[in-house]
Amino acid sequence: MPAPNTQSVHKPVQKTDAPAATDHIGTQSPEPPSPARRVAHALLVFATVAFTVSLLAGAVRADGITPLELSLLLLYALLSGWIALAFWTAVAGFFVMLAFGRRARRTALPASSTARVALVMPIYNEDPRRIFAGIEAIWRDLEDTGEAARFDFHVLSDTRDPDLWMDEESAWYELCTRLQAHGRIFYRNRPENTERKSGNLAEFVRRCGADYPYFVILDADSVMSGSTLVELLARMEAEPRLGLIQVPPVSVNRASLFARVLQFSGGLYGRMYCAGLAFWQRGESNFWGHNAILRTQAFAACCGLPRLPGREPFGGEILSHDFVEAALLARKGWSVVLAWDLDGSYEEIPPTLIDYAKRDRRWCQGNLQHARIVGAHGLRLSSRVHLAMGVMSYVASPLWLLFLALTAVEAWVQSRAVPVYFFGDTTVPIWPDTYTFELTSVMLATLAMLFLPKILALLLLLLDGRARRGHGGLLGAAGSVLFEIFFAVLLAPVMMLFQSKFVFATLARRNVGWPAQQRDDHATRFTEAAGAHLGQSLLGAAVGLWAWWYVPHFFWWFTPVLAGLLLAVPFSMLTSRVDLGTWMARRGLFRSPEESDRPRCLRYLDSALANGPTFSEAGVRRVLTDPRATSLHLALTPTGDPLTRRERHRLEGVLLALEEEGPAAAINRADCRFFLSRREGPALWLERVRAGARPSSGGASEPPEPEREREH
Amino acid sequence: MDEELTHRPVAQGIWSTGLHLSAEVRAVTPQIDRLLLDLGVQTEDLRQRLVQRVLRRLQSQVERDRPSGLALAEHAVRETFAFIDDWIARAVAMAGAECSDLMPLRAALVHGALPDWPQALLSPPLPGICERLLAAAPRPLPAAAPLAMPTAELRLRRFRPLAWLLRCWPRRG
Repeated sequence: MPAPNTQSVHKPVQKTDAPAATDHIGTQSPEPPSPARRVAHALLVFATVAFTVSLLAGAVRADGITPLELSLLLLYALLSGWIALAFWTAVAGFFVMLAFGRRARRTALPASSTARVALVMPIYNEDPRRIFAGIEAIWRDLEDTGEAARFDFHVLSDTRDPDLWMDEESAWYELCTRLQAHGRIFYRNRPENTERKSGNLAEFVRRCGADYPYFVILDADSVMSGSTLVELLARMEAEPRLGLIQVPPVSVNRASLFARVLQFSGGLYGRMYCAGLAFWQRGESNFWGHNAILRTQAFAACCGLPRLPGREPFGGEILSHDFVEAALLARKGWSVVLAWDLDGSYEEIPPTLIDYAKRDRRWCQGNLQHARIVGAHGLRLSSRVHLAMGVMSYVASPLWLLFLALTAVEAWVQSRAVPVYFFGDTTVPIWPDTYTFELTSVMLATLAMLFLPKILALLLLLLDGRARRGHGGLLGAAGSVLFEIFFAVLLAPVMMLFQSKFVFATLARRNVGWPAQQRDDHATRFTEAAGAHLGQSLLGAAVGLWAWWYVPHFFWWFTPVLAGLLLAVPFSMLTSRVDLGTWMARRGLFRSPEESDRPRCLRYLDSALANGPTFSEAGVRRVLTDPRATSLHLALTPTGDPLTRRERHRLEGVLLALEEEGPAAAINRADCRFFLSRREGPALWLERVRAGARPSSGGASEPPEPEREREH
Repeated sequence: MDEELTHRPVAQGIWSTGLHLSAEVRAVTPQIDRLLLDLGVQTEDLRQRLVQRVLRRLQSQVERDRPSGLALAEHAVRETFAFIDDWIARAVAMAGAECSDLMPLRAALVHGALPDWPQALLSPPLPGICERLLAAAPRPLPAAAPLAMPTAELRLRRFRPLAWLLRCWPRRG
């Protein structure tokens, strides 16, 4: 009988260059890249840019193009290209969805298939209740499919906070016991979180990847339905060249107004964009880091990420691993597919504008780092496009900022020019040329590219009764779209400034680290909002005053941007409110199908969150005072090598601090982790505190003080 | 079969076992009692009987090692867990299983893998107990099935726009 908590069976290391792994490379790809579609897409983008830029150039070149105007034209070309890329993707998606509808194709799982799938969830300082509620929801939904036995769960914790670590252990064991899932749901906490998430995944693959032909990566807030997971497995089994299938996650479960708007827009437009992306990317699609199934052998063979030369932020560990992993898979001929037709893939988004910006700050550094990888040898063109798009999604903000600044300067220069109506001896005035037509056309073309996809999405809604009802009916959806446009107008300048700041901070080599996210709904306080946005509002006020004073005719063009900046503090506070979000939802605004017709896996999630474990005290304190929690922790702590003399001293130091100050002693995180990662620490503490070496500080479960009078 | 115990309260709340317990051994009774309570032994009678078992083990240790004061109290805590572990080891041996580490089984036990575990500790383990404990024991890691994951080669291009421009510049001659 195998000993629990020991890796008693050590299989030989399976080599990923074995023929079994690469036999498929020569076979037909399930979704071969389509050059015709890509060329068509690129031509449409270039034609759009050429059209809008030629109109703009016509307006400025009459009296020669100044360097300032040339800069404006170049910037506009770049930015309109960026908008046109998204626009034509949406148009392609519209026609794809018009042709195929929302129905997902279903693949039969071969009867002979015995493949097992690992559902891996890398976590880092997340809420343990939410983590294990998500796992429970997926587990229960898988059980309903009858295929649950094929799936194991692996919680790969990189959590550094000792309290959360201890809570994770307790919640994990409680869940395993409740679901009778011992040996099916695994948990480990890495002693060192080297190479962050990609290192965490690599550790899993190197430790037990040979047992699972496929693995699904989940985020801490991911939920996937059982039927979708089985479908993913069936697709992988059916297509031996498939390396990765990404299922676009739908944002759910947040109730703040901010999150509701994003959930609504993601739900309404997201699938159309994804269908468009899948249309031109085909089998060289992208990976978004979670809610995707991967072929383990392919991943192991291709995706061991190297360190980039140089120092952070552009060198060192690759932060945003997903795009790079997709590129490396595609480089070796593995298909990477975006399964836009599949439902049952969910995630949660930051509940407030400030949390959203914080997440962007993390992603920004990772995406900018890709600028170094875009040109790497051997990558497919589509992978380079993905990487460049990732870079551009952040660089676009400072470019817009620069564009606006140069436009303001140009307006100021124009305002100082004195018009001359009479030349030479002529008495007939020569009126200056007007370029109203050209400039209005440019503006209309830009607005069309921004807003037409929203109308297309509403048209698709007409054809889909279930989605229409889910989004609050056609009127509700149309009203929500109008409000969302207003919301986007106010949000865009704020995010432009945030992202510009992040880009400059990254370029200035200011590391952002990898902070954990706050995922629960919570209202933004005034001090928090003022701290984050006051600078933006002041900048908006200064620019507004300058424009009003020096270029009054231009001021009104600036008002959408200025309004967003001036209202940033109240906007941030109001949109963080749950009551406003709920109020809107009651009136049929910003509703999503997942709310009105809740999928089974999300109902399981609700139930698991309601019935999940509650911890009355902090994790470390619980392990130090409750002998049952200590026993569990000791069971999960491997018996390491004997302590060195230095380690013994370090351990003794922590013990002394605990004896002096009790379980609430201020011990630094590193020492606390060291103490908890060795069996000797908690075991010794348990003996000492229980023996009464430290007086109890109250509470029913506190160990007693020794009754010294009885010693005599 | 459980050994005969005489549950006779004495002045300080110590119950005689029929075996002579020294005063210093009896003095650690509250610590063991509280530990068992926190481990989930709610029934006082059961707790008392378990305390006696531990005390008797402790008495023989004391006679051999002569600890006193806090060292003795620490010893008592250790002995409480050793008492539980010995019982688990007997259950494992009875099932013919091999288990190098009893800690997971202890965790399963005190977390209620056997709902009546305090009572069960007073008797030799019954058949099937080991299997129940193993089924409920925390298993954080599966058996190792290593897969090689070599580091991918990523040859970066050095982007030097100035050098590129110079190369493109038409040269005379």
